Amino acid sequence: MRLGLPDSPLMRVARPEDILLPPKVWFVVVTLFVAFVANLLPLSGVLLALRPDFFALVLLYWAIHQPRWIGVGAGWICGLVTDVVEANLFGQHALAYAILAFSAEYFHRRVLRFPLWQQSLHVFALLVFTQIIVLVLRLMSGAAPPSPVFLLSTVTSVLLWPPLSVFLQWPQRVRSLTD
Amino acid sequence: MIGNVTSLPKEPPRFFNRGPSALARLTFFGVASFALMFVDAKFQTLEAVRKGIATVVYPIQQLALLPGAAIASAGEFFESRAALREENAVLKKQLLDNAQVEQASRAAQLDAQRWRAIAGASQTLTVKSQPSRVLYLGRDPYSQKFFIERGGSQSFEAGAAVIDGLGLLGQLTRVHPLLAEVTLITDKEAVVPIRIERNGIRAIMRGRGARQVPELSFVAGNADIVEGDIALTSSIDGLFPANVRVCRVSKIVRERENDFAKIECLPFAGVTSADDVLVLDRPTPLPPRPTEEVAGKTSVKRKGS
Repeated sequence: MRLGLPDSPLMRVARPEDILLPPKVWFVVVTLFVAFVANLLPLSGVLLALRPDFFALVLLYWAIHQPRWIGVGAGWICGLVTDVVEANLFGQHALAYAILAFSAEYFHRRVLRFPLWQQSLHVFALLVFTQIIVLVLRLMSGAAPPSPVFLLSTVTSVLLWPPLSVFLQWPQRVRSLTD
Repeated sequence: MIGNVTSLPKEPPRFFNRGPSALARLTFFGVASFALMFVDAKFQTLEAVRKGIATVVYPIQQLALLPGAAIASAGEFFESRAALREENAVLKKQLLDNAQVEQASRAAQLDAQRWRAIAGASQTLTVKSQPSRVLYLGRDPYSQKFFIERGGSQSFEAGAAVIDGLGLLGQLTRVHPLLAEVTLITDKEAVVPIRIERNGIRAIMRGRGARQVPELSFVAGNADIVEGDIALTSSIDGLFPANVRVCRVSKIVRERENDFAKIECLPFAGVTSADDVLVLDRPTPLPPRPTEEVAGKTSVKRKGS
């Protein structure tokens, strides 16, 4: 049973039994890069608090769908770049993103069996876990606790998961459907 | 059998070599992360790496600024002539208002310099400054930082004070080739030596993070500080140039059971709104503080004698 999204073939992601074209390496790299730039948008205040973590989302998507390309190591490097750009403690996002990629690798067979909205619940748990890791590391290193508004970014991230999944799978799917 | 073909597993069977297991890789990278965090928190050795990555990432950051800049320039284009004229008039009036004060202060400075020359003091009152502008705010919700532009010829130095038109904003903490990181005085790690303008009482202002206003710490409960007092930077320890406005005392709580008063103060500078900023050069280095060792030796001697 699928709830929430219409059941047209274009509006859902493929199940494990569906046959998809293999993704292109350049597409994975470009989407990760675009997500990274999107994270850098000069927002502040409420907009910043609401901004989904695009980088973590796209990373998670590829870690779930292509765990052999985007795994723990790739997650770690992405986290390291985030740490430098955000000018904070080296290694905290690296650790969080590595754990994110690991849990994606661990859960990917299970997650893909669910319809999108149920996948979102898995994603929510993983992202909250990531945020908690960063929170604990920062509090241990003596930072002031942020306002709880920053948990909202996890909510917006999760809301973005279904459309993002549909979009990122598009190039792999379109031709296989018309054939 | 054919039904099984469509549900082929996505992963190849185990007998292909797939490298170390996910858990092994996680352990490896986890240990690497903790090592990095430890080294970064305790030593300065990673600054070079950080600088390198920051320089590589800088053009990408500029790319992310483009949409915002485009919207801003479009807005500027449509800003009406009348609004500009009005602003111009206000600024002219401000300039006139300030002119008298400025001339008087110049004369006073010269006076003071003459007196200092007579007294043989070497300290000067004026500080060189370099203009810059805020590029973007820090995205880390745990710290209060922003980034300012650094021109090719600008010689920024970590530790320099950063001010806006109203008062002290913060301190340069990292200088990259094309930009510099400013830690605001509201950051939890920020500490500013201050002096109360009215009576010269010295204290230390500490930031307490985004959600709380800074505090003057370790001020005796009976110190003569009242609400509304203005705190200026003090040049003690040679960290900041003297006499930059920092904050206004907004609330004082004196409790009998505490030796220290709890003094909250509101920064003058637009810590959330600053746009154009000035980077003040660090004051001339002071002679080094007499070392603890000397004191220890003399006390030992005293013991012996």
